[in-house]
Amino acid sequence: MLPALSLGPFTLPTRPLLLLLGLWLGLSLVEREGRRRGIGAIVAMDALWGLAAGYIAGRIGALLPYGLSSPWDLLSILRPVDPMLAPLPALLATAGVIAWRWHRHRIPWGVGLDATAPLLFAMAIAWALGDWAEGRRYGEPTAIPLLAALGGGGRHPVQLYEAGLGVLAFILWYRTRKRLQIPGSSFLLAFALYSATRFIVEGFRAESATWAGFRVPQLWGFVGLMIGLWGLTWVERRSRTE
Amino acid sequence: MPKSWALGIALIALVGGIWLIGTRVREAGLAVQEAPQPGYRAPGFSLRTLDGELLSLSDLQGRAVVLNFWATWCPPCRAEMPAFQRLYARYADRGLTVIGVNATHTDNLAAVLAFRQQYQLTFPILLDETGQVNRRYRVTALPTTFFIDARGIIRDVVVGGPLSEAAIEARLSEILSTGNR
Repeated sequence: MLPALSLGPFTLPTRPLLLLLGLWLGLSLVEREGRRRGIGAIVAMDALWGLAAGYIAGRIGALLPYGLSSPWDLLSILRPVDPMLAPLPALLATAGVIAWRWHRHRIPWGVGLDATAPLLFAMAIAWALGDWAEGRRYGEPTAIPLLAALGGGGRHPVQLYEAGLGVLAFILWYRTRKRLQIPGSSFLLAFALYSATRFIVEGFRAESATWAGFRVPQLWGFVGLMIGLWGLTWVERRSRTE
Repeated sequence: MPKSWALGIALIALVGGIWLIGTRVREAGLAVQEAPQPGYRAPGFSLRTLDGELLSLSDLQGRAVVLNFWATWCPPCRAEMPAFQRLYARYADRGLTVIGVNATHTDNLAAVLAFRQQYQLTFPILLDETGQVNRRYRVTALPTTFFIDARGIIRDVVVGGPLSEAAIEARLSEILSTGNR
């Protein structure tokens, strides 16, 4: 675990640094994909606006129920040290802002989503590594010495599994994407692969919300995987009939 | 849909279903070890308070604990301290204890006393004169705050600050909702 990096007199929290690195890498890839798909680099800027809006909405959603009473509370919305985010407002704001920007820039949905797909992998990998650095979202106990040591305190290093599978999923997506010509199919593949990684790794997670004995994030991963695969076959069939 | 696709999806659904059932949460619960990480039992310690009394973490059994590592020379520590005091006053009756662990090995006792006076802190301030508890909790940056539930399990750790009152309160709702240990 490495929650903070000490550089001389400065101490930098690891998680925000990893997230910034993931954002930079992800946006660089989105920019490249945008150019390749003929919609230009603006799609990366649209994604950045969407993420910024999502971050602010997620922070407000997490903190507003407890009241924002002082200047520190207002500032704390933008502080990256605290990872607390409300997922639904974050997701809605990101989608809303991106949809608005794409409408303004006349970017077709399918092509825009395809170009933005690498950001999903980059942020998911950075998030998982950030969790590992801070020791969050740990796994179940394991007796396998190497894994126990990497997990810190005898637990499965689920966050590293998530990051590793994320890299593999990205490589698979990257090598396959040129074969998927129909707009939207490249994103659906990325979504299915991401959901598959979550579906696999959540099975090792020690503490999750549960429903009827099943881990809720794992169920969502399964649903996402099925939606992604079904969506792929749907766009394929639709393009054939057209 | 080509037949091979349909078969592939059906196979993935089948294997997925097996994995889903195989990884269902067992009711037995986890054997919780001590470690300064979320999900683990908070490492025990005993330290003297500013008033000279000895306080152990085990004395606070059954209470939710916010363990804040701080020093007077640390600006974010100073900034977040009034929020801890306000929340301590508000939630003490509901089973919350706030503990400030001062990094006395890097601080000055007179400054700590003046600080307590200035901010009118009523929660216990412990003096980590050798830095042993800071090391035990692997504190690499100040402030670092541990949120410990009533069963003694660390629910969250925030490295850095200042934490806003809302951000602290959001976490309190989780540690206060957990039953007695």
